[in-house]
Amino acid sequence: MLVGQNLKIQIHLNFMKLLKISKTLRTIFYLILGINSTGLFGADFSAKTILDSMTIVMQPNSSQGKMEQEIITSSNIKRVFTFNYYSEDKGKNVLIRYMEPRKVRNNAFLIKNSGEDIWVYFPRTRRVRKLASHAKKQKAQGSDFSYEDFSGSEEWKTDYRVKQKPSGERNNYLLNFTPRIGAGTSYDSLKIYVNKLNYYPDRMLYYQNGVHLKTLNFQDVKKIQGIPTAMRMLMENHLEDSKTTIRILEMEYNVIFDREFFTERNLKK
Amino acid sequence: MIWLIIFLLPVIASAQVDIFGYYESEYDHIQLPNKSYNFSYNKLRLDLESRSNENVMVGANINFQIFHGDQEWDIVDFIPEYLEIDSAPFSISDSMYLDNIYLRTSFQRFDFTIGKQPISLGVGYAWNPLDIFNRKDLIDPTYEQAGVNALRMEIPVMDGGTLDIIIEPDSTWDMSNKLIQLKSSLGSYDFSLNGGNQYHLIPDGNSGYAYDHVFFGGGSIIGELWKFGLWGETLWSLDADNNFGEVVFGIDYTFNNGVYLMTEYFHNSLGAEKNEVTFDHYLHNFNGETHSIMQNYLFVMGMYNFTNYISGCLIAFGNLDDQSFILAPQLNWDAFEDVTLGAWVSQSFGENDTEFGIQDLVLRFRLRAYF
Repeated sequence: MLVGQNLKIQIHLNFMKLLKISKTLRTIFYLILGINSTGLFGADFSAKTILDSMTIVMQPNSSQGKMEQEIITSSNIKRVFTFNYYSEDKGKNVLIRYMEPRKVRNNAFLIKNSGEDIWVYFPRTRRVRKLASHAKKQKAQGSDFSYEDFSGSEEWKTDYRVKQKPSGERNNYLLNFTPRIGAGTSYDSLKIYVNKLNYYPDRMLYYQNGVHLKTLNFQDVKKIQGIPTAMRMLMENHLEDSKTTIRILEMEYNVIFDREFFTERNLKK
Repeated sequence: MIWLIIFLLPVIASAQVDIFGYYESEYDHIQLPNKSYNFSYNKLRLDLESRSNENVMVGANINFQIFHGDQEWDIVDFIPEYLEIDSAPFSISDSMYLDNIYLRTSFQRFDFTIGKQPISLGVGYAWNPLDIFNRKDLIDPTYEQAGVNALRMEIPVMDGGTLDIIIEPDSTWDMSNKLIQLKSSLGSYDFSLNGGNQYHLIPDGNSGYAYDHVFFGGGSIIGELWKFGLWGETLWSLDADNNFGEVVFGIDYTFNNGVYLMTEYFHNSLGAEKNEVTFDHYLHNFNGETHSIMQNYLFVMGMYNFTNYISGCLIAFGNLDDQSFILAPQLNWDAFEDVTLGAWVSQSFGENDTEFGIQDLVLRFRLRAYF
């Protein structure tokens, strides 16, 4: 998912250790040669390797937290939503329950199989309805995020072809994503700038019909339980000139959920 | 009901109660060929919710509604002249009522809810044949429905499935509505198998109705095919000699630009056939005993968010049997964080002696503020 990271897998821990060693060696090498790494080392990593590293870094095995979503329109009108967020299986299964404002209180979404299956719960009628996957193209509570944007980053691998492009930036790799045939994504390309040091995304650019539609910025990266976490994510809609910020208020990783947590029964609780 | 109120109110009073709800104000202008109705109401819905622990929840809703303007109505104004009814007046008056009051408990193996509670069944948007407890207003299908005085047990079965048993008690066991539903999923499809028993209208063989105990069987399915959302839902009598029922099919799609389109087709074999409409058909429909007056209907909706806070919706629905339709554009504006304003227009098309053609123009303004 967009939020959180995962270092649970031992293999990954080892991988990160190797990266650190590699970075240390690189730093020594730069000092000796006085050059930056882009030309010599950046190009050594294939796009797939960078993507794999990024998804491992930003994909927690499980997490739960409380978040605040602030929408700011072009006319500077603000709306604030608060929601509880739960994810498991590296973001494949997600449950979102809105707490504020009162209008959407206890409205909840259960997203499974990386966004392929979505159920929505309306507390006033106690009704649960399954939505077709096209519904993920709709705006989440009027924000600049679509439900698709909340889907697991595994979709970047399954729905898109990825290539590395020159970023023109010292600190970031640039990955360019184009949809696979029949993937049914909303976007006709994505660009992700990935930090070379920690493989955490710096920003994502969304394109629709060739137009740069939105940019998602990952800001204020802090470590929670040793896992780097963007405490603030800013989505800018360049067409509507609006912004949505998601701020992490509370976050806990490696949570063990009940077997029935990501079910319709729990959605209605 | 009285014993339930006596039992539950102290529970609510002694526990930490979450109080929320909304204030709603609505103005309606209904223009008929030779007459018009103007009325408005102010409504306060007070929701009370108490959770003494994560497995016990007591919920209640009290509605206060005050009407203004035309409060004396005549059904005759909304039915075709050829039915030759002189007058069937009714009035709407200020009201205060307990819409819901229920206790929900979650045990390890099942959830149990007792009391007047919100129940909403089925996968359809405008019609729900499986929902034998409620009926919907086509111009506003998502508006909250009245609570149902019932016992409900939801038992998790299989992998993510639920066995749902609902009993709406009446004076005798025979008169009570009973429904059982097994809900599960298969691949990317959710489905349900339903059975029910109800004292219900049945065709009398002469274009009219009689009452009898009816056993129903049915089901629903919802999923996706070629990126289109698809669903279907049916409930049919199991009496081979008196076979009747309802079925709905729907399809929806969201385009990349966010435009959402949806359509549903509804068939009710209990409805009147063309040129066989009687006053009974209207009466039973107004009373909520049938889901439609005639047999075949279509509902189409398009929706788009113009901005983060302004959304537009175009609804069209019609009676395919008498060729009458309603076109209803709606505009909703989230004016403040918890305040929504809506402006709705509905224009009818069709002959004056048809279900929808008898209306002309309806204007509706609605303000709702949540707290």
